[in-house]
Amino acid sequence: MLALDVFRGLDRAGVRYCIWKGSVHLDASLAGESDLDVLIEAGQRDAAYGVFASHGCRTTRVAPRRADVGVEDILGFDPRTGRMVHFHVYHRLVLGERHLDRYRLPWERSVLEARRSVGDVYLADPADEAVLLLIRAALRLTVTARAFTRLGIANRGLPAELDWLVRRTDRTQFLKTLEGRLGRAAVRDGERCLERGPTAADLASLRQKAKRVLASQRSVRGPRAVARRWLRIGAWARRGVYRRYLERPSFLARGPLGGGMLVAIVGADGSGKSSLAWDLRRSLSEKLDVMYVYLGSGDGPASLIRWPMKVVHRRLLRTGRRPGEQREGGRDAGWLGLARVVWALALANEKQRKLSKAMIARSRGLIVICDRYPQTQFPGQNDGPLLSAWRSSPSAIRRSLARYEGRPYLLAAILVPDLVLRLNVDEATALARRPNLDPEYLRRRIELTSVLSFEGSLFGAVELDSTQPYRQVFGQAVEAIWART
Amino acid sequence: MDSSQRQDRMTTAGADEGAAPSVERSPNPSVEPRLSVIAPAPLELVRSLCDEVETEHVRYCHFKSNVELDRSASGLNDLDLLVARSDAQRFVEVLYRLGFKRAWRAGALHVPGVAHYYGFDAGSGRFVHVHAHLQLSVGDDMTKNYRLPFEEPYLSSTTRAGLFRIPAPEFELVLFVVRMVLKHCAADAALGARRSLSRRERDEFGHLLRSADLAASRAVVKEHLAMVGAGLFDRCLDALRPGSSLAFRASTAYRLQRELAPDGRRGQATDGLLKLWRRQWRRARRRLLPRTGATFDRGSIVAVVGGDGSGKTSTVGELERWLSTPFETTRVHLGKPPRSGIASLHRASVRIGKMLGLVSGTPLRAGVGAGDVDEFPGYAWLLFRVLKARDRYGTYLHARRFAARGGIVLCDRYPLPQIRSMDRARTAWSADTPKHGALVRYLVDRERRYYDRIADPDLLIVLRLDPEVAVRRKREDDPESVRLRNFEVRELSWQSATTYVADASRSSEDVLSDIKRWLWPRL
Repeated sequence: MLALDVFRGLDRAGVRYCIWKGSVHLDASLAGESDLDVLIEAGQRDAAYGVFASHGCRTTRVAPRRADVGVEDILGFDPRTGRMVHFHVYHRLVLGERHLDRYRLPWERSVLEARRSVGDVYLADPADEAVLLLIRAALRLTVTARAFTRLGIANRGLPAELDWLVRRTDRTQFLKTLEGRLGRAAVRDGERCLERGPTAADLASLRQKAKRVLASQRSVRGPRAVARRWLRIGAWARRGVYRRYLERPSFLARGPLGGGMLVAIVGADGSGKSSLAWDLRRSLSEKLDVMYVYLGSGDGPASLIRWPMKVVHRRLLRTGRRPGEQREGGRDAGWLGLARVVWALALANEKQRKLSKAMIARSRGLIVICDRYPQTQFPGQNDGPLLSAWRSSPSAIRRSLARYEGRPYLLAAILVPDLVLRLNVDEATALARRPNLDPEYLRRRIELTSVLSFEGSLFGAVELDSTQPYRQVFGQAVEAIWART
Repeated sequence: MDSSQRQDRMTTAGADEGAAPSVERSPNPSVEPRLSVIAPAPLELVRSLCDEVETEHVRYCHFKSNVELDRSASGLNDLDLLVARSDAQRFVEVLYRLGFKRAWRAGALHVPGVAHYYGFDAGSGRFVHVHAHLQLSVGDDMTKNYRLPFEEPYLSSTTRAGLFRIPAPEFELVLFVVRMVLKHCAADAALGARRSLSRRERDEFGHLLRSADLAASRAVVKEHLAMVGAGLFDRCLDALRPGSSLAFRASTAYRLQRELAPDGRRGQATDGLLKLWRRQWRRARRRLLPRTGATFDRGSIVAVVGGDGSGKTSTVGELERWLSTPFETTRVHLGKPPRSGIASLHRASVRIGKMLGLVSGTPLRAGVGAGDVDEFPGYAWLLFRVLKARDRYGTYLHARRFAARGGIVLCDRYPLPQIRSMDRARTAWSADTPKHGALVRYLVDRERRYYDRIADPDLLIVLRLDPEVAVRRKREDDPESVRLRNFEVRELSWQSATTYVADASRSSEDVLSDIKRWLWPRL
């Protein structure tokens, strides 16, 4: 596992570190299911960074509003588990209310000195961790959190975790540590927390004591702290909405240090483009700011103009052709031809808008996952312009319509994606996945996809064999993106 | 003082060290010899950086202002390095290996793909500021709104010239022209004070026009910046030439921004408004608020302690001068903290009371330890000690908050439990005389609590000095007190990874140099 390798590397490099919270979920954290909070000796940061870097872990660019002093976000990709591993590297022990770690606890040295080795990993002493857990819970107990705690919504896992930690040390040691940190007055609260599990009242009482002791360790206070916290909450809520329901080019959390990246996923029908694009978006957006853009004309999200046309096309105008099969003579005539023009123009408009949005997102530092990408190498096919034949038409109207339709394709030719993931699939596999498609059409699409070129792309095209099991393809895709961020 | 002013100051300082004007040949073979002041030799740190990135096969180049490479090499100019994105990780590894640190300025522009690192060249005592660009961001200084997506060909065109890799002049000319048009020709700039190129920019433009093949530059634009196109590039060139009209320049910049729009973070109108707002805000901020330096991702409290005459104040002053140019630094005196209103009031009341014969007892400044006095020193003295402790704690609070925001705090003296002869609770004697009343006990407890709340500094510098040398240095002070304080500091054991013990009997330059070497990696 990547996390274990990193910890072994830190140990070999003589870096003093310990995981100072969440050791109850250590196995899950090591497997990448949750974040790892690692406290590192402040003077050994350079050596520590070298170890992280040698394991392919990278510092991320954090949105200015979210950055905390003394904490660094380092991400790595574990190819064995196919998961991103997120290290919160603490050079200072900072914690506080939710979304605002404004207290620094000046106990880094003593916590590191008392650390214990468990297997290949160093953990904070259970007494230290239990005390820090209580202080953390107490400092997070704002008015809202207090109400939620009373209702049993917040701090549900706290009693169990505290109990788990105290069982690994002894009650006296825990109370002694608590007294050492917050003074004699806090011991009674500590005892109550152990006896009946921390209630909202116990935590509130402890919060008072902690705030008094840590008053000198606040970075911000008063209205400034409130304003900063609510701004962060606002950004967090916005990010949640964008992640789930909207695709907006806003940089609100984390991104690659090297700035944004436009990743295009291309491939023939049945190669798994859309599934891969969605899964990449879902997986990467847990840690980074990611935007998904559908740049094709098929089953993906469509604009309000094109959507009814898609419905009509599917429901009413069943011509008996298999999808992809060309009409005799190759062209639709009459009102179907007109519909095709309207469709092409609406599609071009949509692509132009989406491309602009994607470019803005990239410029702002997001990873943009493009499901398909417009191309001009094969007009009329594979996401290419549909009215290109009209460019040499004697009719001025047709020529201007073709020019209008060609705008996004021209833009896409100039603004090539930074990275292209090309999903290669053989005809048999594609046909097995899409049995309703015309084999001839599929063969042509596979051929065209394989020869599409992306001149000027920053990282070029990465060929992925999509006949492999999907899990492998997905892992390779994440690795390809991560290695280039 | 803003960065340009500081740069000027550094430049002047550098020029002072140099010799008389002479003809100098640039390390770039394509750069013509020009008359300039000889810059100091390249810094060892910059040399190591360049060698290391070459050894690690990191693709990079010094991507702009290459007519002044000598100034970059000697640390007088910042290093603007464009690094291939695929090699960014190795580049950062190299930086950390050489002791560089990531830092940023509060309220400064956060451009995607640009990170700032500071290194310290111990030999020259200069800081080296690396702007690591992983993408080419251009535009007005207030927004840097556009990205030119031709980093890869730009890096492919580089050749090594002296220490640095530099791009082909054709590429550099293209980048320069786009940068300058966006910076000086946009409507707001053309109408304001930034309408013309500075002298250095004009020199650079002239040099690039002489060294670059214009046809090749057009080909670069055509191939890699197709959205700009050769026609618009020529127009941009004309707009930069002296004598071009304001309208022509503004319309050229408008067209260029329109073509670069797909690679911009915001639309042209938003960008224009943001520029205006940020410019005015920066101006107001500069007038109303103190200057801000760069902050680290973790702040530090650095305490300097020692006996009288050991050079604490000079050391703190020198460290402040050293660090405050690039970084957010403040200095506090925890030995003599700023007096609060209530402390001043108390002091004045005691003085008036003494004049009127209403107050008696121990003088306020007298130290009273166990066995020092036979009788109770008086409430005035006790209150003075409590208020002193309160002022120290208040100063400590300010320091801690400053450090918590990423700044560096330099403390002249620091209340440490192991030092008993200064900056500590003075009412410990009360433990031996339990006969005192509740009020005395309360005041004694208050003082102790203030000191208990002051946590250890993050880094501690101890200046050790022979007591007799200290007495000779501090002739005007009480020799016994000077001897006692230095003796205590000398005899204590200071074994800790976060403590540096300096022999203060050496020359102040040597002491400072050693302290700087020790301090930088630990900040």
